[in-house]
Amino acid sequence: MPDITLAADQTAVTRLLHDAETLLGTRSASNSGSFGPFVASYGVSASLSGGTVTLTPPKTIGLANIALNYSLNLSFGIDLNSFLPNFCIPQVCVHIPCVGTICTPQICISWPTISIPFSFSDSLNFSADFEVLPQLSGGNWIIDVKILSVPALDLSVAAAAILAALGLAIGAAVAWVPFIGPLLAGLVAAILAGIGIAGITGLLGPLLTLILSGLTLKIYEEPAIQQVLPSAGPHDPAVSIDVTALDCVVQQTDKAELVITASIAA
Amino acid sequence: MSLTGSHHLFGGISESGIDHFLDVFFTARPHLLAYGTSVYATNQNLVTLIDTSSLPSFLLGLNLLVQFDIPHVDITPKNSAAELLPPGTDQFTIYSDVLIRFLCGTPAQSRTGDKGAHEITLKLQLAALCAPRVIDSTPGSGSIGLTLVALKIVGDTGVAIEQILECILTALLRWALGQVSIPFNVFTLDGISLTLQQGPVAAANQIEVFGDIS
Repeated sequence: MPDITLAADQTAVTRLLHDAETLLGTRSASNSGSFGPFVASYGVSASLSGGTVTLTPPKTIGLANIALNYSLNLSFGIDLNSFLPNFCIPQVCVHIPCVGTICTPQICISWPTISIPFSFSDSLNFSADFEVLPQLSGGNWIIDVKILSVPALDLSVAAAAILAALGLAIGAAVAWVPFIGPLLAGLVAAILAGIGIAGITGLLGPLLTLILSGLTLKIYEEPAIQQVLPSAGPHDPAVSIDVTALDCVVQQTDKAELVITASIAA
Repeated sequence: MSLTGSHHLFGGISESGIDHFLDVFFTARPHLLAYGTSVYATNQNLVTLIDTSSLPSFLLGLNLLVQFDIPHVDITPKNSAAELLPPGTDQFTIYSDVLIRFLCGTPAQSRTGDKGAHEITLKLQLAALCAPRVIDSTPGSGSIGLTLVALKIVGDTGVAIEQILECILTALLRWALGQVSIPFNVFTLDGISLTLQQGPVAAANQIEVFGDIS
């Protein structure tokens, strides 16, 4: 029989995991590469919240409907000449008696390259199984729950929303360009068509996969030697216990429970 | 049967766990198990001083040390009815040995080998019926204590002398065990904040508490 037994049911484990999600904070990933026809630098920061716990013996914690709250930032340049027709104001010549013929030069419009900074925040839900991993590290007992495999993320709704927001961002970014008014709708449509849903998912998917890969939530971390009573006077020094072994498993009886057992030194 | 029952959190410290805790506790604070007059209480970290300075001078040569061994527990005996002190519900037995040293005569006489000054020793086995109690139920930082209910000397020492000794030893050991405090964070390994909802219960070879995360 272990010296100390601590059991938590699914409700308590849910609380532990939600606290661990808060403790985890924000994770970030960044990269640069092709974004449809463009080259973009991009990054994503994400945090986790919520999720419904299912405990499965011997060591699995399932978390369903975890909210992955992410913020996507990307920046890319658009050479408008690639999307808009070049046109010239033709030469105009006027014959002036006694002076001769005077011509204006031909003026050709060269479209600028526009930098598009873009941010987008949203959340999507995913479900995954985690493995319970107790370990002694650096003098501390730790119980981690580590994701077993990165789940498939359904990005189709998010990608459509991002594409729509991107259209608005492009419109705002190029609005100042002279003569662009009548061409604006066509420009935005052409750029979005070039990027497409595939461009968004091809960018966001790997970034979020990077965020979730090896995801580890820490539900317990305490020193192996724990002071349990403070000093209570000149003849009563502090009392500490030394946790020499610790294990953590899921047990299923009439109720599923996460059971932590420990041995303490005499 | 689940451990948490109708609650969300369960903490249990087994007999061996309590033994280890008592070992750590009384090793850190040994004076709680030793009570002696000035001759024996030269280091009050080790022995609690019984102050006899106000006694009449002709008694000052009498010195006493009562030294308990670190106790160990038996929460669920195989046959409760056959125990010296049969435990009731939520009660358990603590066993300890006690050594009583009585110095009859002054230390000076003792050092000079005066036949009139000599030490008498008596070693006894004790069984003490105890019950867990809540010292403090503050969520997260509360603690569980031990209450001594009854004490018996194991073996035959004569009725009257036995009753006198049991009375004295009960007072001393009740005080010593009353100082034992097992914080909630021992039950939860310091990692989870417990709000006590039921217990402490002495059952199935352990002391158990039930509650929720606070």
